[in-house]
Amino acid sequence: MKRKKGLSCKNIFSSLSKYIDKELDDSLSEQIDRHIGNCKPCKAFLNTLRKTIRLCNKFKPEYKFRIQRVKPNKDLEEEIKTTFTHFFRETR
Amino acid sequence: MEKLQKRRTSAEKITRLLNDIRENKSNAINRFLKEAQQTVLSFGMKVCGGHVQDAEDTMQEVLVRFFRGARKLKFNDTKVLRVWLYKVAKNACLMNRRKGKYEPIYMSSINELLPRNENGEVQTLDIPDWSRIPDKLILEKENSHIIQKALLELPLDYRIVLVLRDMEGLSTKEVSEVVGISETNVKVRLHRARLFMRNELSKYLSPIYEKGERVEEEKGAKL
Repeated sequence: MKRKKGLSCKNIFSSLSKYIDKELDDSLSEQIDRHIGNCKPCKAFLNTLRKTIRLCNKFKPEYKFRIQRVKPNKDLEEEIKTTFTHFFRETR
Repeated sequence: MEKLQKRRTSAEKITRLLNDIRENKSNAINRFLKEAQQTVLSFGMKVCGGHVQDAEDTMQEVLVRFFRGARKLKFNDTKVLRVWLYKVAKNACLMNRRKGKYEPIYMSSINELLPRNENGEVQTLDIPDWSRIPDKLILEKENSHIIQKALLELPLDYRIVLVLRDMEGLSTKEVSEVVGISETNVKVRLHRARLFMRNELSKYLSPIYEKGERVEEEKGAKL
């Protein structure tokens, strides 16, 4: 394992999600920035982890509806309206 | 690196439509119903796998339970309704899912998810940077199954957290409310699930990337 400026690659791995989500304090985040700048494998690992998250963001499962979507009749629509009116009553 | 695109997540769309209903905008209820069905069906497919019928059955149940339960909610913030929708969807999905022959229950430890060489030693000397492969190429029909496949290799507890946070776009706090675990626990599960997904995608995408690199090198040599 490489060790660069205080943080080992292994240390980096355990904090990468928080680093990506910007949940680390500035000091640790800067240490990771420095390490990543000098460590090609860690940079590749970070890039591919970021890419994984982005692919998850964009992923849509493939399917076709086999049944019709629910289209509410008048009664059901009224019931739904009542539910929402009740829920939002304090802001109306 | 490709630019991070600003996309509206399912959770954001739901919130937007709930705000439209609050403001009495025209046709807002029908638009909400359409989006809610889409959201619940898609969530069910991601969590329970490729059983469309299961996801459809779940969807019907979820909407009925959602409206019944919503009357009892006390807060008027749309986020409460959003969390409630996913909570009902998650519960229905767990109740209805068909347990497959193989349902993963074991989750690798962080150490097991670190890059290793052929001898099993942790090392970071050579990690192919397949992030350079365009998203579009990976998400094309013939490749998109790798994401669903990797997702279903994740134990359910981890899969639900990853789907809610990275696919549906809920915040850590909202995920903790839907799943009923602490925010710290959400973060721990999310990190391990992301590492797991990266490793699974790596198995498929590294060879594609390396093949492309070799082609580029050969092209370069000819110039």
